[in-house]
Amino acid sequence: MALTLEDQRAVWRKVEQFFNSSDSGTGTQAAVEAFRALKKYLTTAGTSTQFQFVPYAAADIVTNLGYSPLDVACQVYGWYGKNSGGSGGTDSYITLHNAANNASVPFVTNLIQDDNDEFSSIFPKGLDFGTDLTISGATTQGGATESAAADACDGFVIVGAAA
Amino acid sequence: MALSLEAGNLVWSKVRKALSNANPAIQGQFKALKEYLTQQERNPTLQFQSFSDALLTTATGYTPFAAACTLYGVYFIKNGTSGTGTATDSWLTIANDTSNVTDATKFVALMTSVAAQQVAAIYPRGLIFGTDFTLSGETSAQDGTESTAGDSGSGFVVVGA
Repeated sequence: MALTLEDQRAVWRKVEQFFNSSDSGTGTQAAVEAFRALKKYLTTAGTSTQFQFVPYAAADIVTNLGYSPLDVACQVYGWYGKNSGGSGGTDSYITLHNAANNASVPFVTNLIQDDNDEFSSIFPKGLDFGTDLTISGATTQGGATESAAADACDGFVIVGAAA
Repeated sequence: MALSLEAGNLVWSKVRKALSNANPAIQGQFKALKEYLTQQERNPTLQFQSFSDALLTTATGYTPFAAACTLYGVYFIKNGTSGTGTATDSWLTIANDTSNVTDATKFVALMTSVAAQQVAAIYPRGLIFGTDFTLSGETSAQDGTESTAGDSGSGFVVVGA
């Protein structure tokens, strides 16, 4: 596989649709507005015009070795995750790895602790993943033991072409 | 020590000043967090806590509160001038512990690889640090080895009870 970049207007429509989707749970207004701020920056002052919306489900990222939807280097501009409400209160470390699986050192980690927990990370000028992008939900920080899906999160990553 | 909570409007004033030269997307991200917490989470008392590269890279990390807390937002900017300066990878980690030595306690890890790179993360519902709160600038998300101050950066966190 490779990146499937498209005009960012289509990407931002998908972000809006994600936040409006009942399947994805309802993001807080803080998250919705945070991504609108990222959109505003990238559309008016960013140097890239094409991005890819990469959604993921909890079931994807707790598969063995993690979820690697791109199989190619990229840059990450925004990352959102939210527990769908079924967490049993067990911590799930949601991590982006610069590798083809979750066995490598984490680049970025956020934590889901309980029902409906949510995070948004923004890298306005992009964070370079020079090898690959693997999203993983694990029971420890950077660990290779995947969480139960109910403890992890759904979400999306906005990526652009590699640096 | 302990938390020194104050009215949210004072904290958000400090956030605004701290982000006066930040990337507009990050300014917007914290504005959105402010509006959410003030309007939909009953405007909790908060604490603004800044940190420098020197503090982040001290041995075993920087533990400003010596108390449990809840993290709502973190901003970090790597040292250097955009397009020049250091590009050595450095992670900002936040551990639910009194030091940075135990990987398993690192609830948050944010990587920077380009000079003056900015990153921010928000947790509108709060991320609970039930033990303590240690910030560290490290050479990896997992090794507990501090970066040089030049490779690290500065920023702030917004925490609550």
